Amino acid sequence: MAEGLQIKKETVGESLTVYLSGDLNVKTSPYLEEELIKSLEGVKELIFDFADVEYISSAGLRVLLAMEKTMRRQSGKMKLLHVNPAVKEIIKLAGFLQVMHIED
Amino acid sequence: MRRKILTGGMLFTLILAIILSYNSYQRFTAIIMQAHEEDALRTAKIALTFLDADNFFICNQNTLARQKILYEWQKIVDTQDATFIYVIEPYNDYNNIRFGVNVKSTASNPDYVVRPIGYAMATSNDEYKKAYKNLYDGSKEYAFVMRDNGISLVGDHITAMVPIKNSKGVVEGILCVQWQLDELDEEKILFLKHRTRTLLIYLAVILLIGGKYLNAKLLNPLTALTQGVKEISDGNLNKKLEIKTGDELQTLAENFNTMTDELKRQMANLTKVTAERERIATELDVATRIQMSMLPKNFSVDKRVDLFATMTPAKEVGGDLYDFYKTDDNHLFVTIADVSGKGVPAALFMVAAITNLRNYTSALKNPDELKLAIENTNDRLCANNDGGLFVTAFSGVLDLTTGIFRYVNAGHNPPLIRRRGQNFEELPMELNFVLGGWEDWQYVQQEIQLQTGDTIFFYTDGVTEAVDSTGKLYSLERLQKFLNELDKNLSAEEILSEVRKSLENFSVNAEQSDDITMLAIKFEGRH
Repeated sequence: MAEGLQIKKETVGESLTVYLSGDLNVKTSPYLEEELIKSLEGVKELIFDFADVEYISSAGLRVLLAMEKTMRRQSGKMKLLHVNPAVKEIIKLAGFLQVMHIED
Repeated sequence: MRRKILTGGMLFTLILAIILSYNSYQRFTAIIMQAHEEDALRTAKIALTFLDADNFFICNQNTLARQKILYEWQKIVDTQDATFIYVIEPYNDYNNIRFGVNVKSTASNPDYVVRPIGYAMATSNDEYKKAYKNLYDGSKEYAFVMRDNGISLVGDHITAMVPIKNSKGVVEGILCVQWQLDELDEEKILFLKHRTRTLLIYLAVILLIGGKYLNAKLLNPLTALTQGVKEISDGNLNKKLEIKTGDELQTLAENFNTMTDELKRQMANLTKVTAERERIATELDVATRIQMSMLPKNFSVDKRVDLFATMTPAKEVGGDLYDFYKTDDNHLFVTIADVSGKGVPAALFMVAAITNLRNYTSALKNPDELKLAIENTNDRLCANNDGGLFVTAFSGVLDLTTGIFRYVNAGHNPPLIRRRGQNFEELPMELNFVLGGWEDWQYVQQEIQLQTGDTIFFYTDGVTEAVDSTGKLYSLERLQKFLNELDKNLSAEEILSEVRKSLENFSVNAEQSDDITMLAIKFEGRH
């Protein structure tokens, strides 16, 4: 468990929902990536619940981008739920809205 | 330790010797006494055989029978340890006795005298009285009375008594044999001396052997163990404890040796790790300096612009960069960028980004087509990007003659622009994807017309995301407000210096977690 970020995973069939709580920064992001890499096999739908994420740094964006690419490689889909406006602004700024699906 | 054990051992031995001696003395006395009693009783019974109980009165007359008794009894007392054989008849409820026939040994104590027949006296004590009574009422077949006051009193004796019964069972009198115990005390003392000496010798031998064994098996190994452990604790980790006792001490020593080995291994490992860490730290330091050296420091790039930039790396080598250069007389390229992540990978990626950007912008036939250089750089960075790193970058090219500023924002924070005499506002921004994130991305290029006196402030998120000691962000709002309160005549260098100070005040007591990079450019060309 990385300090500052809690990760809860829930698998239903081929759908994996990841509940995040805390900050996605340079310290916590490598931990998230490590956690996800081992559970992505065979997943067709990856859902991030961002309800409790208050901040995302470029390191966090990098993990999201890597996941997006991985999902596309295995013909799956990825989407982000309940993204708060501040985080959404950062994601938008980096141009990620154009490759990632954020559901309101 | 050794002294304690020895003293304790000796004390223990002494006490044991005393207890054992006393115990055997008691038993010895009892056995000896019993032997004497038996002898005395036997003598009394022999003496009794010479009496005719049915005609008992005869022996008290001066008759031949009495002469014969005296003759036989004299033989008995002179050959046995008996000193006195006499017959008595108690009366007055055993409080007095009358003597009958009696004889004393020739060699005995002159205090004893042969009593005349009928000699009366008071009974010596209650013990005698009780014995007489027991014999008369038939509750005992014999009795002993002991006159013994312990060691060193001479004249101790034992009196064995048997009743003189006639054929009808009537007790006519009591036959007493006085048995001298003069030698008993001597025997006792002799025995005690001998026994104690023997015991002491035995115990001393046991103590000596036991002590030697204890020394060899416990004390010597313990001393060796103590000294060895001290040597180890003094820092000699090569010391091995050699204890071959085959018991817990040996196990202890072996465990200690294992522990020492482990300690040695750990220390060697620690030394290695520390050295390795120092090496890495040095390399990271070198990497930071190389990185910093790639950033241009000569800000007098053209008289038509006032330009200044700073980059303050966080503790670890980071991934921020700024860059500016002219590709010809008229075109000034400016870039500010932030690589995702930290450390050497970020720094290397940053070097790749800066190098590619310089190459592709320099190769542009028409410098105004910045977008092409950005797209090429993006494709370049996407290739072989296994680490999944990317750069948020803002790149622009300023036409120093016309003041037209063309730019592409690849996912970076929008710079702030201040039109002459106005406030800082975000530069109008199309959203583009970051560099190195998605291959073949089509970037959108924008442009604005700069007027003389217009200022653009570029920054990375190290500025707006600087935190104070409570974790609060510096924020874009605070930055914008601070910039707008500045004197509008400040130079680019002064603006950056003021922001720098503001950040330092804000983040006092908080560690800088990200690189802080700023670049300000003031267009002074179009008059």
